Amino acid sequence: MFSYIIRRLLQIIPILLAISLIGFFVMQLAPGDYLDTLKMNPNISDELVQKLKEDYGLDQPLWKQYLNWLWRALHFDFGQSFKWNVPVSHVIGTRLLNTLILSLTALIIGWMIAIPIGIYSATHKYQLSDNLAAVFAFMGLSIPNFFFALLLQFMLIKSGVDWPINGMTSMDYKWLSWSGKIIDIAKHLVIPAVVLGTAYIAGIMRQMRGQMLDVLEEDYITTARSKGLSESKVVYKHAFKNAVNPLITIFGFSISSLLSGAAITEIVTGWPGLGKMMLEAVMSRDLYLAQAGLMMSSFLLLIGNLIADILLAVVDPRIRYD
Amino acid sequence: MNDLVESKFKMISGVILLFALSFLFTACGKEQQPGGSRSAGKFGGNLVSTELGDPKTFNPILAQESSSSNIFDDYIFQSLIRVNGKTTKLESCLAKSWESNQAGTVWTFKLREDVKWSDGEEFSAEDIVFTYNLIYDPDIPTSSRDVLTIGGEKIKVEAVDKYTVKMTLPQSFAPILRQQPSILPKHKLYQSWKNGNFKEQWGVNTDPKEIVGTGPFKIIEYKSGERIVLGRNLYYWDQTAQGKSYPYVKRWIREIVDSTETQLLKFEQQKVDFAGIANKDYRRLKKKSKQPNNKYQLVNAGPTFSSNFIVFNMNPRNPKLKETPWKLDWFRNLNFRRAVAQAVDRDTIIEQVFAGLATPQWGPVSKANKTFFNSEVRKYPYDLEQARQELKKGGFTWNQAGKLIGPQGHRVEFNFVTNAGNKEREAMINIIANDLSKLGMKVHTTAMEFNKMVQQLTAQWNYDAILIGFTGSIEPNVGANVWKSSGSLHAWNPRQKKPATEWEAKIDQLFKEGVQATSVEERKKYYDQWQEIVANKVPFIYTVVPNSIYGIRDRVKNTKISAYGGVSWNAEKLYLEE
Repeated sequence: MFSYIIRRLLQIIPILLAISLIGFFVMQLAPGDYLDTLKMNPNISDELVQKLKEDYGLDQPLWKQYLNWLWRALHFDFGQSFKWNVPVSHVIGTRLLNTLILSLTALIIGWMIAIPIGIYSATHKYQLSDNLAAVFAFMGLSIPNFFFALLLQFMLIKSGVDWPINGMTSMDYKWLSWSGKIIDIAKHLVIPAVVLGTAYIAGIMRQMRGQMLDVLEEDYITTARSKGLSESKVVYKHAFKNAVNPLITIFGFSISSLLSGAAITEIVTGWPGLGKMMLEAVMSRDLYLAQAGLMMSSFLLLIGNLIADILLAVVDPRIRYD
Repeated sequence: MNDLVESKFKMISGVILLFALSFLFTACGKEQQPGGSRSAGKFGGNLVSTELGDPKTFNPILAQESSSSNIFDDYIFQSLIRVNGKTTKLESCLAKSWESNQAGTVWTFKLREDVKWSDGEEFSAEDIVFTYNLIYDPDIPTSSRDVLTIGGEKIKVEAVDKYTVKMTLPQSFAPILRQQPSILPKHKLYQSWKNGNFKEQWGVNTDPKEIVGTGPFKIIEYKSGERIVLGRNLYYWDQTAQGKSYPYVKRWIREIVDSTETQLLKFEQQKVDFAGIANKDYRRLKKKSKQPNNKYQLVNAGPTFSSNFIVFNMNPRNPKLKETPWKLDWFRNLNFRRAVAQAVDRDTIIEQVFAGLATPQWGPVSKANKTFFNSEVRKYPYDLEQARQELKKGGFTWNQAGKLIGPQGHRVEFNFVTNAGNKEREAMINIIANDLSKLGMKVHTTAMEFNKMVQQLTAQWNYDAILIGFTGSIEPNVGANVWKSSGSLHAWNPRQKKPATEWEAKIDQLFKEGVQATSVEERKKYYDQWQEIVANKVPFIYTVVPNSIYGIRDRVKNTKISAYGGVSWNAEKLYLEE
């Protein structure tokens, strides 16, 4: 197992290299560069644009720009953001924690609710409660996040409840006590976390249900039942353990979306996370910021997959990597 | 995102007209006139407003966009002279008086002696000299250098004594008073400049306590993507009649919101004190403001400085001309451009795109510019019949199917683009194209990504027609890069070695004379002529200027709202009364 993990970690290096290379060059395919906006400003002269171009290194050949970036990235220096004029790591640092708070809360909400409901639906196949859950799931799947967020905001405003609908902290946050700060953030967290969480629920719940149904048909379940095991033992010990494998893979993938999956919800609910910033970085061709965002998501995807594979081995004794 | 930022910018800087003159007066009626009446405002409270985007730096010399300068210009950093946001006239600020010699080449500024930096340090003429040294440092990328370089030469800035600054100009340059930079503290930044790392100073990662200015406010807290909290600068020099320093409010909280929709929502919930309102929302909000539990008003502050115009490509270096050389002849044909100008249905655009809250524009200066606006320029009211006459005069004909045929016998057909994401412009090109098709033209409209459009306009020169706008300002010379034939933003035919036409040569000449003339009256003569030429030759076909509309809660007092300064230009003198 240990050598397997080491091998997988080593594999990450060439994959990341390839991603960085492709990402870097694909970004060049879009027309224009960061300086275009400045060119449209009558106050900014050609000389200044040229000077900035040199300062940013945008006048050098592409391969050289890439190698420079790579060399610095190997030293954990991801360059300066053009727009923010400070190191990329600082720009990301200010938002990273916010996004993690939101994504993790949503992830926990999603899984905590989806798994039990999925199992329940499977064991109550075609009953009213199962059908209700299905309706709920399809609604969750088909309502886009941005719309659901707007809907929640709208309902809160209409109902006249004094509940924050936008942002992450209240205006007086700086002057609140420790516990007051946590409560304040938690209140703001409700809308975006519910929106993101329910988006997870639908998919995971249906997966769980489908897997459980397959497993419940198996001969060994019949055997277990005929042995006289209690129904809960049959479901949770025998069926669930066998049904959960694909969900672990999905879990691995959802780790990769921790940083990028919340973008739209963040934008609609004004959550100061990475999503909007990354979108802006790509749109304004803030090269190194966008590149750093890409690398981070890719890294998480790879790590997420690795974690999923390890978890699989832990959960399912049939799976061995050595 | 650029187009978004731009459209947002339009909204804020944005948007409004005179129709509500009476309305303005009612708003003003409640105001206290601080100059006249001695009754003082109330101290304390939190003023809350919104910003559509994070500041990108706190360093005024390095700032390149309004999301940064909106935060600090005049509030945290000040210049020698400031512009009154209501009257747009010059007022004393860090300099209490100034004078020039007859020729306008030597300016002497007498500084206020009671000014202190917000950390308590003394302010002196050395700070002015230091700021100019920064601006002229070739290693520092700053647009201030461009506006303060006159005929390729620097201004010589000397400290005569502790409170006197002398500026020697290479030649008379009238815009100097309006283009004074924000002054930075030498005691804070000199060392880093000497060490060569000024460019890294005062980025958004700086501890707010380190950022020191002379303005009424200082930064207390900045949370990326959330808010900037400004607090009182206890050392601020300007005081009420009772001898207490402005500002009235204890804090000014500026919430960062992602969209104009959120901004509007927050204003409707009365969570913010004032906000720019999009034209399309005016009527609904106006109605709502009359309900008793809604304690706010809407103010229509008149036309803004932003413009929307059509430009046809008259550049002989257009690479596409190899295939369609006749297009250059159409676009250079004055009758053709006048016909198009006459086919722009400005009333419909105002009604449908700006909900009735915009003003037709005929020349390069917006009506909002009280100093330089020339109302006597040639106008092109919507008249398709006259447009047809113009086309006929220009040698255009129609075939049996009613299609317009150019002088060389080619069907008139061209691409017409604007930047995607700017909903107002997207709507405008469709209205315009519809009318052009009534003249028999075939127009392909596209909303194009902002960067791509900029490339076509400034580097590739391969477009046919573009609908775009620049944000203007009071000083016409700011547009020199657009209007001089050698300018890179001389959109219809940029970077000419020699002016292609007589009238372009004349504009070059007028801009040269305009900056050298010293009195405003004399300058206006030159810029009036320029506006007449532009309206006559229509290289830019102007459409409409949106009005700027502000919503403001009743608890905010002493407001002096204008399209130029918005609500917040006199933030230090606003006070709150529940």
